[in-house]
Amino acid sequence: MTMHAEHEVEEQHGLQPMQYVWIGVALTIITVVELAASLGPDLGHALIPILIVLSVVKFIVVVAYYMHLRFEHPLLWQAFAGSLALGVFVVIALITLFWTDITDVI
Amino acid sequence: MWIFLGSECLFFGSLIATYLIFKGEIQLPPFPSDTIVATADLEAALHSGALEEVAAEHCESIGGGQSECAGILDIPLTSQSTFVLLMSSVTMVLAVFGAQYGRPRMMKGWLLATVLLGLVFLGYQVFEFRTFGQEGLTLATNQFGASFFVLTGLHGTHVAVGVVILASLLLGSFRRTGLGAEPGFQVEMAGLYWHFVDVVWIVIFTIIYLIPA
Repeated sequence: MTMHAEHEVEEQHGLQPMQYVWIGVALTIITVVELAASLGPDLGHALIPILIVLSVVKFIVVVAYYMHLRFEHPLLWQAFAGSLALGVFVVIALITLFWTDITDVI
Repeated sequence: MWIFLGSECLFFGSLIATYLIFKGEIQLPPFPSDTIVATADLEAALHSGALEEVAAEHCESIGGGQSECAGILDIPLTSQSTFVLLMSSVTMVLAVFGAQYGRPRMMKGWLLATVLLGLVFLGYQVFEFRTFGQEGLTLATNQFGASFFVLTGLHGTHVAVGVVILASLLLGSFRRTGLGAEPGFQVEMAGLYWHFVDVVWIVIFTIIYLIPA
C-alpha cells in the first residue's frame, strides 16, 4: 500500500493522536464550565437546560470521535441512535407515570 | 457491540429515571444538597428512630423553627473522579490507535494508563460510598439512598468489569502471539465499552451532582 493510500485509510477510520488529546482538553473545559454553572452564580431556571445541553455536547463528542461512530457505516449509528431514542423514551415515560403518583400522595 | 451498548442505554435509562423520580421526594436527611427543614420534624424523626443521630448531626438550627441540613454530595471530590474517568477515555482512544496502526508499545502503554485511571476512579467510588455510609446514607435509608447506590453502584460495577477486560488485553499482549491476528479489533471493542461507561458517567454526574434537587 502506498503512503498516500495509508494516509487515506487513517483519514477514513479516525483522527490523529494529538487530535484526540485536544478533544479531551475540550471535554475537560466543558466539564469546568458545567461546574462553574452549577456552583457559581444563581442562574435560576436556565441552569438545568444549560447543564443538559453541555452534557449532550460531551455525549455526542465522545460517541462520534472517541467511539468512532462518525467514521462508521450509517447502519451502526442508526442502530445506536434508535436504542438511545428508546432509552430516552423510557426515561420520559417512567417519570411521567410515577412522578404524578408521588405528587398526588404529597 | 453497538447493539449491546444500545441495550445498556435502556438499562441505565430506567435507573436514571428511578433516581430522578425519587430525588426530590426526600423528607429527612441525608439530603443530596443543602436543604432547610422544620426543626420539629427533625426532632420527631430522631426520637421515633426514623432518623439516625449521625444524619441529624449534619443539621443546625437557623431560627424560626427551621434547620439547615448540609448536603451529602461532595461535588469537588466527584469532579476529580469525573476528570480521571474523562482522561481514561483519552488514554483508551490512544491505546486503540496504537493497536489499529501496529504500534504495540503505544497500545500497551496507554492500556496500562487506562487500567490505572480506572482503578483510581473505583477508589474514589469506594471512598465516597464508605463516607456516605458513615454519614447515615445507605441502601436502606430512604428512596434517595436506594436509587443513588443502585445507579452509581451498577455503574461502578461496569467500570470494574471494564478494568478486568482491559487488564486481560494488556496481559494477553505480552504473550508470544500477542493479541492474535486482529489486535486492533479486540482493543477497539474494549474501547467502545470503556467509552460508553464514560459517557454514562457524564450523564450520571450531571443528573446526580450538578442538577439541584
